[in-house]
Amino acid sequence: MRLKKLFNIYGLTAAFGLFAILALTTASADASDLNIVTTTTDLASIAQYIVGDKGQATPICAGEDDPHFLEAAPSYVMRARRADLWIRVGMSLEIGWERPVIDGSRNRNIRPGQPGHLDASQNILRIEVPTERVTPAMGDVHPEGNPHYQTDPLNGRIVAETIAERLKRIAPEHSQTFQENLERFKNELDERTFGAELVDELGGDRLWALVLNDNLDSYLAQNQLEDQLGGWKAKMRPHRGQKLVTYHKNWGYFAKRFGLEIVTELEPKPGIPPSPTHLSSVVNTVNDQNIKAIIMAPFYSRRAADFVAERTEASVYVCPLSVPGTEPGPNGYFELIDTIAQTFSTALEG
Amino acid sequence: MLRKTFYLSFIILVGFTCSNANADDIRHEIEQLKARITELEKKLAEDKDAEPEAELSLDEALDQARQEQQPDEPEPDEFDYTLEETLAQAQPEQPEPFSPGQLDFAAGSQQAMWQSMNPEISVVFDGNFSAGDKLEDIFENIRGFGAGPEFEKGFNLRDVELHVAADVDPYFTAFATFEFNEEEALVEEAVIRDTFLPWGLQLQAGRFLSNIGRINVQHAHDWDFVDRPLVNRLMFDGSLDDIGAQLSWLLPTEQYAMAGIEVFQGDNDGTFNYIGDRIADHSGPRAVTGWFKYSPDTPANHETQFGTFAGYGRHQEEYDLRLVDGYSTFLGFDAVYKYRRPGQHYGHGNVTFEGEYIYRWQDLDYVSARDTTGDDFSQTHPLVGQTQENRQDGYYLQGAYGFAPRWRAGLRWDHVGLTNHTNLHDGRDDFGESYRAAAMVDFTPTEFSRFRVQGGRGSYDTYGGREKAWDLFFQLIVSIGPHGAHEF
Repeated sequence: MRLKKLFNIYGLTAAFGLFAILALTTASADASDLNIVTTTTDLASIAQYIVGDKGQATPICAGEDDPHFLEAAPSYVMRARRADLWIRVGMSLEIGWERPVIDGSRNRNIRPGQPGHLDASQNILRIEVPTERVTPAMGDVHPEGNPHYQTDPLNGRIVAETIAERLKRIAPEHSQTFQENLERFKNELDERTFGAELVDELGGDRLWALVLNDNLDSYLAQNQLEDQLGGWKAKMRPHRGQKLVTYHKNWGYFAKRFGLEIVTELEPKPGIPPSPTHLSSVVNTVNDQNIKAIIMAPFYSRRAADFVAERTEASVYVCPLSVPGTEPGPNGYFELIDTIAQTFSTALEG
Repeated sequence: MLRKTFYLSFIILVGFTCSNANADDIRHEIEQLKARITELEKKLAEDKDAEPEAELSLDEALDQARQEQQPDEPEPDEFDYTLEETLAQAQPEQPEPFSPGQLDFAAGSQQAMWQSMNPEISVVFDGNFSAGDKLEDIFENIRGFGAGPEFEKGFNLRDVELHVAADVDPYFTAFATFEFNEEEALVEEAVIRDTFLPWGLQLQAGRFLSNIGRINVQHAHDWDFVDRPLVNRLMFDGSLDDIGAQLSWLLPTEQYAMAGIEVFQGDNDGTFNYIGDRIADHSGPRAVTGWFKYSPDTPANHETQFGTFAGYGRHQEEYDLRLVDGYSTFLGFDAVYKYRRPGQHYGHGNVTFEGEYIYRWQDLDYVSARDTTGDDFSQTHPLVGQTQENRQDGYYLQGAYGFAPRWRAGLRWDHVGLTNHTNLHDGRDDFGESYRAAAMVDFTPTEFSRFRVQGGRGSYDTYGGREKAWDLFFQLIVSIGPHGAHEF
């Protein structure tokens, strides 16, 4: 009978109150620094660059993992709980776990629609936006388009602008710092894309405008500036029009930006693992078109890629899709594109 | 044009200033100027040809590029659509830059944003083929417990579950789960939950699954095994779900800690059974539960959570010769460990372990009794006022391992009745233990479908003596509709 009393409603209320007292004695974190939580390391790296010394940006998903397949976990909830700004890749990439994490965190400021919730995809240039209604029979096709947009440096630049705009809104007192950091970010990204000389000569905005109008080459030729082209553009220039095969539709943005042609994927449909029938058709394609490179993200099994490589002249290259690790520095994003450009260039030379 | 006008006026001006000079000189000068004008015009035109687009600013060029990627310029090579699919579907709207103020979890484009005005609807089919001796009646006969059969032999459509969810407004979110089985339609859950309370508090009300332990709050299609663990099934005759309200609190501690309290109307077979009138009327709420979950900091890719929970509430039961009224109390512990192998895909290498232990007390008073089943119950029967005390417990332990991409194997150990006795007016009845082992293998082609094979063998303490039984299940789970997010 004594147990009844123990577990009656008053007992539980009392226990609840006790936890309240215990909890309130634990100090909260430093309030002056902006706490940015991003879903991926790429976003964390860019956000860290923009926020500078005014805050910290940390990712949920390690660079080696597929952000599409994370599962909600208490440790994510704890990070979301303390966030001033939550940045997601968007385009349904985090659909399997974002909601329980944000709901569980009870952090009203980072709910969708609040200033503390930022969808980084909102201004980016999209590819592979389905023109028909998407059904799961197509595999894991995202209705908003291909979500792996970070491999296009122009999208990285746009994301940096989007993040800077939002930071100015939630911490207007640091607006000037964010703007300066954004200018430095853009300048560095432009120099790494086109080479410092050309950026000095023409300015990054002008160069990107030429790229988007498909006029960069004719313009450079006309003005005898071709020798000055450096950076990733120069590195990938000899490979324009070259063909390759990837495991998943991870590299469409990079290929489009640098003029490469992805002929097919090892997956028969997005998110559906390679089947023997599909792989044999890939083998035929690779042989017919004399393709030399198969590129895959690190989180996929190598078996299918090796199967194709053994039957063709092609070699397998594992390329990071996101900034590796869990603590991307502010330069992580630049280094990522460096690595991707290096891997693709090596693969296409081979 | 401006430049041209300027040169022309220049010529006229020159003409006037030189009016007193030699006419030939003037004519010569005009010829020269004309030539110069033509040259300049030509150069201007050339400049325009050389950089026709470069006059666009970056912003204009970006806008143009966004226009170009719209669906009216499809990329037929990128997606392998069949003709039927193409014909069946309407054209999507153009994804354009949008206001971040109107996004929700699923949205990423205007198209998705408009769709999100409608609730998210999904349907889960959960069916199986069951085989086994005594599958249908053994659980009713386990001494000290008692629960109805979960499956019949042969084909079972456990349920067709319709799940509807949406944000109500900026302050509430709501979801409902309707369960259709072969006999009836049930409201399994209908929950309104706040999104505005401060300090890590959250209030929800409606009909919902209690958050005690691990298995109780999960839907059957999310389990790692076909059937519910023995202890949960026998204690609560299914899940503990009821109409009520829940207040939970995410503590502002450095480590994850969540406490919750639930008040229920108190009408749930097994532990908070309510018959009412025939025994005694008690107004609701008649049951209360509380739980606490704690998750210590662990290295990346490892997650652990420990929980404790308790409940207390009115319980009534009808036996052949007596009607009893009193209280049920339970206390339990749960733990879960999950390992996500980094750099892997489709769950390959992932490990999950979990377990729960529940101890239940029931202290019940005889409110009426009779001598034989032919008589009427009498509240003045000599046995009225006697007490019945039930003491039962049980636990389960289970683990699953992703042995290949999309494939998992799991083992479960069920054990109930470590404590299992009843004190009645005529003395104490001691009952035995029951235990069961099960093994399963499942294959998950995509997030939307799963196949499972499970076999088990158990030894049960029944009213007919100790019985051994085996069971075998083939299960198919399919869900249609948006891919929902999973809780931890």
